[in-house]
Amino acid sequence: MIARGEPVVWLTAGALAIALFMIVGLIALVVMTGGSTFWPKRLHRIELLDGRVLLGELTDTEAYEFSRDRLDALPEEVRGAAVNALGDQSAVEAHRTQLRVDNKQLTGESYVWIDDFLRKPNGTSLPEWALTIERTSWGRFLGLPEAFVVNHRRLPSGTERQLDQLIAFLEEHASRADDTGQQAIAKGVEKLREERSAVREKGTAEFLQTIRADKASAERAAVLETGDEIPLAQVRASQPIVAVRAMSPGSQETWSRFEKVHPEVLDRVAAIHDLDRSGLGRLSEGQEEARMDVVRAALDSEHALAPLAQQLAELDAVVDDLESAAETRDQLAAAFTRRFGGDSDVVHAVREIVAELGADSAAQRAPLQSEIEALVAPLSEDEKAAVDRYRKVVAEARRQTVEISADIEALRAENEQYVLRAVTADGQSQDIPVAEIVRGFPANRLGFAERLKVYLSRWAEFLLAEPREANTEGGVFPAIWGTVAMTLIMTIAVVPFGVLAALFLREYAKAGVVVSAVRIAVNNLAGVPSIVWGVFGLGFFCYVVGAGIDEAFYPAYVSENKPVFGTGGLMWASLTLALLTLPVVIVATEEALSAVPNSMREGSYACGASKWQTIRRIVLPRALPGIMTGMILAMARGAGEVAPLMLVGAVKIAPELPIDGDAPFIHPSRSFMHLGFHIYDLGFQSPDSEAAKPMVFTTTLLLISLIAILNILAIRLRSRLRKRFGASQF
Amino acid sequence: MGFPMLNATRNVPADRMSSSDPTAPPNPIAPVSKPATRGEIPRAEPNRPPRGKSSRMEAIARGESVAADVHNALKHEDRVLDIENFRLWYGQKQALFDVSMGVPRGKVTAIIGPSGCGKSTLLRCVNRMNDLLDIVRIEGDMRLNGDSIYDRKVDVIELRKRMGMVFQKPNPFPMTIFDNVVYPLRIDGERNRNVLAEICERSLRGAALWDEVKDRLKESALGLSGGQQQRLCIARAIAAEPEVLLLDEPCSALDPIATGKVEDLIQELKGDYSVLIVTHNMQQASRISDYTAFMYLGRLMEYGPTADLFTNPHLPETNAYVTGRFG
Repeated sequence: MIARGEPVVWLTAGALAIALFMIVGLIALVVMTGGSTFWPKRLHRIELLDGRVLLGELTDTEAYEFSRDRLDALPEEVRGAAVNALGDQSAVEAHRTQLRVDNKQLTGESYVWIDDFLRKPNGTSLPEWALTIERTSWGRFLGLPEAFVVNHRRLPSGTERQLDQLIAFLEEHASRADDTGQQAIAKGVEKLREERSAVREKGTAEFLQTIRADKASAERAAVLETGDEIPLAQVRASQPIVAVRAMSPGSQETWSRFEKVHPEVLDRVAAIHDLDRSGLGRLSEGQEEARMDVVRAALDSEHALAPLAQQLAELDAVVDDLESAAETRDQLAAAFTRRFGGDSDVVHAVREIVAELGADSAAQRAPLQSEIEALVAPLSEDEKAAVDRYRKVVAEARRQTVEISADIEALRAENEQYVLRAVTADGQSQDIPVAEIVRGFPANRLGFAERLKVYLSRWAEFLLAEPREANTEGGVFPAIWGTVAMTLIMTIAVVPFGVLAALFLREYAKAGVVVSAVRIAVNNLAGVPSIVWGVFGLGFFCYVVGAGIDEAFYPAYVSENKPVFGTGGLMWASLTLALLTLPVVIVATEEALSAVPNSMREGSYACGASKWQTIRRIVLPRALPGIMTGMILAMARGAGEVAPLMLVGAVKIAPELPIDGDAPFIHPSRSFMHLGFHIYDLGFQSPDSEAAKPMVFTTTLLLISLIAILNILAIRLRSRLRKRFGASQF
Repeated sequence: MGFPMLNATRNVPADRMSSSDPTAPPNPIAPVSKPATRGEIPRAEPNRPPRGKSSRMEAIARGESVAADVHNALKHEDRVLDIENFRLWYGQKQALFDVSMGVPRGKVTAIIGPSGCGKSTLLRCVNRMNDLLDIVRIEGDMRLNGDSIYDRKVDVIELRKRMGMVFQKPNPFPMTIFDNVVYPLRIDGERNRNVLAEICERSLRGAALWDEVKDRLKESALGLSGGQQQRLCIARAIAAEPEVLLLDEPCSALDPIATGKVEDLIQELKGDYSVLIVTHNMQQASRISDYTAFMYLGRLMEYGPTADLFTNPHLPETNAYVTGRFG
């Protein structure tokens, strides 16, 4: 039998089987765990013998050895149950169940293990309305809906607000007037107050009318200025009502109200995010740019321009405030004139006050102006231009920030009206602002189709959204983007470089000791640990090449100690990985080149072709599929590499994408997120690794899929090329 | 008429010089046949003269120079190519010894001889394909229509454009049939599609392949059969209107029918082109060539009109070879 070689068959087949088992096992583990993370699970309510009640998803069960000496660690109430479970043995196999209870801000832990012998008999149920609520902060909340709360705010009318302003002005500045003026003012204030309460009462009546018209909300209470609440029925329009709180108790009612309101709230959240990102973000970017212009101008100036510009901008702000205060005063004076007539005593008193205040502010402004002039005077034309541009940008940004902040505030106030009041399994009531809820669903009421919808929407969020909560929730889109961008740039860098090197080695260099040595060296480079490449990339690309580029082109940033290329970024990471994968490409290309039959080359030479013509027209096309194989291997290697990236540009959270819609579209100096690094970060750097575990698997699944997709694309490209250029060995 | 040596030599790489790897150590004096261990009948040592040894062969085996017997008929021919005292070394090993011969214009000239006699080497020297090997050293010269081939000032690439070469194994390029045929023009910088199409048709007709491939010029040349591929290579070789056509055992990788077609083609090309063909197949040489040169161990032994050489050779060695008594 040995002579016939059959034991070798078993040996070889066994080796293959073990290899296959490991590969299939790994992929199955990743696919199953990663794929099931987003499936919405049922919520179990479990009562324990010690009186605790838990609500959560069952995530795991395991058997362990429960021994007598662990009895003491148990609380008094449950010790009896444990003793029963033990019987007269010293140790017994016990089972326990892992429950994902979330509500981390209340209990301090997301996961708990429950000993099965501690569970109350018949104490497990699936509450119909148990909610899974994913929030923007504090993780998930699991509980039962209690009530849906809407805080209807009473918005004062324009007249009412103006009256408020006028009264406040008079009260503030009354002391400036002389005695007769003060008397006139006191009278005026009284008159205005009367007028205001009339306006307010009318407004309140209208407000109450609209609230009362909506009969659906059950319990309603008016909130007074003092903070007291009184039932809506007892409220009169003359009372100073700030808002009316409407509570819709009952699970069904709460949920249907929530579902109705939630989409529009989310729209507003998105709008706020947009305003924040594109409005405020852009403003601060513009300011930063203008500031860098100043810093640039400061490079060849003896003045410390940057602090100077800042000081000037601050002075400008003070002057601006004084000016706008004067404007407001003029408007108020005009309003007084309209209300009381041109020659009433009040108006005279007000005019005097305004004139006095105006003189005060002019007195304040004069030294400021001269200070500004003194500061600007010694500057040269160019410096002045840069500083003036900065002041203008800052002033404009200040104005726009006020406007955008007002918009954001309005949206926020509207969102803050809605609150979901829920109660945890152990009876703690929790008010959750609807604006903080990303996704909520009554987990035990969902049918298969609805579950699938939740599942898909979670996947969509995962693939398309940005991460939140220190990356443990939300999406990984920036990481996908970064990974793809880096891999493509790496490929673009490594393939031509590697092919040229291999061409020289195989086609031009005379075979000899040197070429063999180079070849061995190249092969050995493939074995250099990737972290070494990372260190090299940091030392060479970032600190030498990048620092050089910064010196030459971004001296302003260097002087601010804010390196542009002198630190990790997309380009340096791509180039580092290009070096890392270079041997793979060189070796594969060399093999592809040597697989081109010499008869082809001879045929071409015999036709009178030069060496380069032969290489370009015959050798390279013929070797292209093999070169593509090298490219695929390099991509697979590069996309999955993490260690060097940690040194040369991958970051935990990147504020901006390295390739986006802002000119010049590709930002090679930006740092970026990477799926591999994301996995490391989730699994080993997050505060709650247990909670992050499912995400680790999901991200792993995504990374593997991404590499597979890139490879499949490359393989398809290769097979097309192969069809075009005939058969090949690969 | 049986040629037992033919069967034997088929098992040997027909000619080391034209094998596909130029870096392999060339062995010009390759064994004439597989070593005797394989066959039952012990064969003569390659470097030894055969039974019935002549003094000439013994002299050659000793490394002495022997004058070639060139028939008078050749003296009246107009020669397109002159080979003058050509010597060649592979490293330390001399492979060609003072070969001098003229190739007549518009005729088919065949070179025959046992494996390793240097006939392919000689052919590849005509368009300086041996330049690609670092270890080759030559002396003597060749002249193409009076122009020196080995002069220092000669541009090898221009030189090669004046000759077409077809190799032992069909080597169509991995591109379309059309691109294959017009390859020599393309590398010469010809871009005009009409010119290219015209030359493609003319060359394919010249290679008797037009009717078979005219409908699939845009398909890969690798889809053609072996015989078609070889005719395609001939079409490629004649596309640039060469002065000489060099054929290095063009039929050795083809089946008899394809061989027949290529032989017919060579007959048709005669007159328009001067053909120099290396062949192992003596029947083929006798069928298609006007003149035949017999080489042995790097020397030109006898050179004359094919009919004379095969039926009435001057030298007993030639007679022994063409009748299959050694090889």
